[in-house]
Amino acid sequence: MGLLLLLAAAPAAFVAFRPVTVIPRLSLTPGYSLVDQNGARLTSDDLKGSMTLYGFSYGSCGEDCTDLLGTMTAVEENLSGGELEGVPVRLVTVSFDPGRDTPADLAELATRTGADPAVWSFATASDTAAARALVGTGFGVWYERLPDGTYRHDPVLVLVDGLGVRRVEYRAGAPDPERVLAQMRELAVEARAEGAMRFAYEAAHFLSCYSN
Amino acid sequence: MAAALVLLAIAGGFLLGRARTGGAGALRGSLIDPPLPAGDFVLASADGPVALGDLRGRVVVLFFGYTFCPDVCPFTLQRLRAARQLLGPAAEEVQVVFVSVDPGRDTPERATSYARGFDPEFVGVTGTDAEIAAVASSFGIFYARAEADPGTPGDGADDYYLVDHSATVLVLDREGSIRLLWSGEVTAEEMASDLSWLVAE
Repeated sequence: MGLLLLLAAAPAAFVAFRPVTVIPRLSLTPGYSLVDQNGARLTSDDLKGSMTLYGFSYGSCGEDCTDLLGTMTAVEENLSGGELEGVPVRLVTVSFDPGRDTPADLAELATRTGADPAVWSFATASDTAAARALVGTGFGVWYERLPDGTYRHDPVLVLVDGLGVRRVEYRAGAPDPERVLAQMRELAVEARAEGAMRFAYEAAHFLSCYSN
Repeated sequence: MAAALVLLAIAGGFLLGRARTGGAGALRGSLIDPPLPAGDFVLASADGPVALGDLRGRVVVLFFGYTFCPDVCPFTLQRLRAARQLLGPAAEEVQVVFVSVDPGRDTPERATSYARGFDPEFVGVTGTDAEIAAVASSFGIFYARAEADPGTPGDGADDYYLVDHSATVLVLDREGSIRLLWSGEVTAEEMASDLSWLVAE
């Protein structure tokens, strides 16, 4: 009888004591083919195997992009050899102004931001329709071009795991970099989990996420 | 007491996790757990419209390619055919859908006859540029016309071009949710093993 009680209580204890932290799997990242600041092609497949933080901006973006780029910069500064806790990390800023953002403009934005080109790509779609499909529909980022050529846009960052699954969406303004890093570290631990811990993660996803 | 509960919970989690990821053998594909809902789509085949939602009840394998593809696509479709053969009677529970990412050249007739050339049970579909762009994106698949050096196939000299595209194969469960992602290197035996797990669910 006692054993039955223990068995029944085990799932509750698992969720309560959380030997692993579950970051939900939200959806697949949209597939894309872009051109980066060097004029080279960057596709969604190129990011597989790396944890990726996506941001959305444009070459002539001023103050309203500073905070978001600042969070991404702070995250980048915590990487060591392009990795966090032994897992490769990349950053991608997608322009929603391909009509004006040439690779040279993106390169200039990258330089202004102080980005390390080895880990942080600035890329653009082939035309405004492709940008709308990717950023607007695919990533769900609302943006609107104003008469003076600037944009109003949702402040969004998206954290994607090595499989290309979206794990966290930050939609309420630039998140605290420490929060983003903490979640990235959780994903890194999950990515490195093997054997018994791998099964523990899958069980945790089952127990924590299936109620949705 | 709490320590005992935690230990039991971890052990339970271990067993639960093992049960969920294959039991007898680990899954070769990358498991998406909990399953991600896959949006519906309606694309065109030689026999009329094909709605992904109508295929529920069977395990669906989605592969994105094009009929002029020199290697990746034939190779993948051949392995899918071999995998279905390895499944025996369980193959009836698996529907392979080939989606063309080259609507400029692949008509519904072309896509269908291409897919059927590998296995008469395969479905081949295509759509408008906008439809294919939306469907591919929603499944995390990229595709782009390849740049080619002058003098090589695809340089545009005779309207022949190559399309670079994700080789990832998606496997949906009977409820129409995305469960597995296979890389381009998965063998027919591994596909059959993963598929039999999903069929048995």
